[in-house]
Amino acid sequence: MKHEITPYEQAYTAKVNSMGFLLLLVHLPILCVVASMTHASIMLTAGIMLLLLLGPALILMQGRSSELGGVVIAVAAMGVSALAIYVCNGLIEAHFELFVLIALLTVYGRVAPLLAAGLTIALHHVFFWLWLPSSIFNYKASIGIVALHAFFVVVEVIPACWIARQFGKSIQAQGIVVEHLGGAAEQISSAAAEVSASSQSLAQGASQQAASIGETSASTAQINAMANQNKENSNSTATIVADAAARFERTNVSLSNMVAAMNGINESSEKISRIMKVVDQISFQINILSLNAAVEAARAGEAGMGFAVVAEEVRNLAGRCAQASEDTSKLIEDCLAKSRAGKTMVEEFAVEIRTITSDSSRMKVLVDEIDVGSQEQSKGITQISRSIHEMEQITQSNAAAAKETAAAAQELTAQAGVIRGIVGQLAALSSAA
Amino acid sequence: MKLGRGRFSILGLWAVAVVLTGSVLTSYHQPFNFPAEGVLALVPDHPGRGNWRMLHVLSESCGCSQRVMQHLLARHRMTDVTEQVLLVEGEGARLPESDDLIARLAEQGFPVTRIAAKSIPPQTDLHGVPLLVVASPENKIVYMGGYGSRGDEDGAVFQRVRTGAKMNALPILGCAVGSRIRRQADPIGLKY
Repeated sequence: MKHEITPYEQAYTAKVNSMGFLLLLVHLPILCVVASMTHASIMLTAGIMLLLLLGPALILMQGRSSELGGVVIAVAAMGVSALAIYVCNGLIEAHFELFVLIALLTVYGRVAPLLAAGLTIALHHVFFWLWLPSSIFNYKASIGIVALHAFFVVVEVIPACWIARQFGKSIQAQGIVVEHLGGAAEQISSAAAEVSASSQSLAQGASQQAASIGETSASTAQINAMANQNKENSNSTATIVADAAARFERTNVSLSNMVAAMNGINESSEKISRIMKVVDQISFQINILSLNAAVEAARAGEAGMGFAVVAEEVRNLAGRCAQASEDTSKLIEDCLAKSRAGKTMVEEFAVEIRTITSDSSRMKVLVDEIDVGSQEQSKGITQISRSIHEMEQITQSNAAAAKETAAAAQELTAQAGVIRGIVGQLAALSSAA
Repeated sequence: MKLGRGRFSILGLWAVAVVLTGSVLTSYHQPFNFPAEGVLALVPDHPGRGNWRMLHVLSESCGCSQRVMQHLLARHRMTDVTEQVLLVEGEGARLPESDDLIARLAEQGFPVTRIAAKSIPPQTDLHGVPLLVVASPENKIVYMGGYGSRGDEDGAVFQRVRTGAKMNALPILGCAVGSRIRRQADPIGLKY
């Protein structure tokens, strides 16, 4: 599966390409010195070495991070091994360089350089086997022997390929970690900082909200208490109003009785008045009779003197009776007038009382409605108070959750910092490697 | 990063050149064929007839031969065997120190015989040097081969074959003798 090559991998490839080229370049003076020691041609050694360096140089000129660089350096490395074997006059130990260089190619973390090296060295063996004139060289090896030689190269190349793949995955992972995880850590840190700030703000707001709701809850409790008090007062008022209405009813009955009594008094007074008029008429007639008696007594002379005195006294009594009757009549008239006025006033008072009674009944209805309303209001306020209490608890819970979120965000920020630190350490290790 | 067609072609040619050059260079450490027994006749005269005889076939233009010369100088000539040095003179340039080494060998009592590569009979089949030939007092070749990887095993070889022990000939690793063989072994002139 083709993966996205990170800048880290490109930098790594460039570094390995450069180091590989330098490693090959170092062979130039070393092999020339060895050639001088083994009496091989220094010019030939240097010339072949320059030819071998040509390919890697071309690739590095094209771009140090070229993936083809590993393959080209692998081919050149096998050529250098062959040159070293030649310069050392076929020294068996010189073959070790071939295996060392193949092992070193695993540093690319890719299979292609190793396969290129294996293929190159296999072609070397096949070609020289075809090349050697049998009339000159004592090389009796069959193609099987050549295959055996190649087998050892394969034995090294196959595990080296596996190691290179694992190493390559490690480099890829490092690239991903350094290139992507670092950025992700920055973003996590930034997001966590924003979440932390928002959570702290939310916690602060929730705390203020909880405090406001607490105050509202207290006010609601007070209102609820007042509503309960109003309900009780309205209940008491309704009772009082009901009692008052009953009393007004009884008062109304009493007033009716009183009016009836006043009417009876008035009638009695009128009867008394009429009786007093009769008495007055009787007094008047007695006075007349006394006058007649006086007259008769006067006619009777002396004999009638006594009678005249009696008649006088009778007349006086009649006069006094008439006076008393007149005074009584006046008093009765006055009493009658006052009784009428009192009746009128009682009737007016009764009308007022009836109106009050009626109003009182209506007031009782209203007070009853107020009582019912107060009870409903009390229930509503109790419900509101309960809801506000629940809101207060929820707000407090939200405030606590917001604080926990803020703490978690701070922890996240710290963890993001740790990740950044790890990425930095990885990057430092990778650049130092 | 894409390579241009021209640069890619150059890289392709370069890779072919590396493979071919590497093949040729790798072939150089292959041993030469053993010559025929007639090689002993290239130095017919020797003063110690009836003794064991060691013939060192070397070349002034061969680094491996120089290494053998240095070894001979270091161990000095053996007394119980007749040692001879046969220098094959080819078309190649002489290596520095060769004259000095040969002069010192002569001073130490090694009889040095020179022979032109052209004058070596083809039936001798002498392809490469340094070549060690050990012959019995009956002038029969008992060993013909190389000197070992360090060019210093002639003494050990002699001690073994002298006791009659059989041993496999060491490979002849060195330089081709004569322009004809050199062209055959190195047609593109990389080594010679």
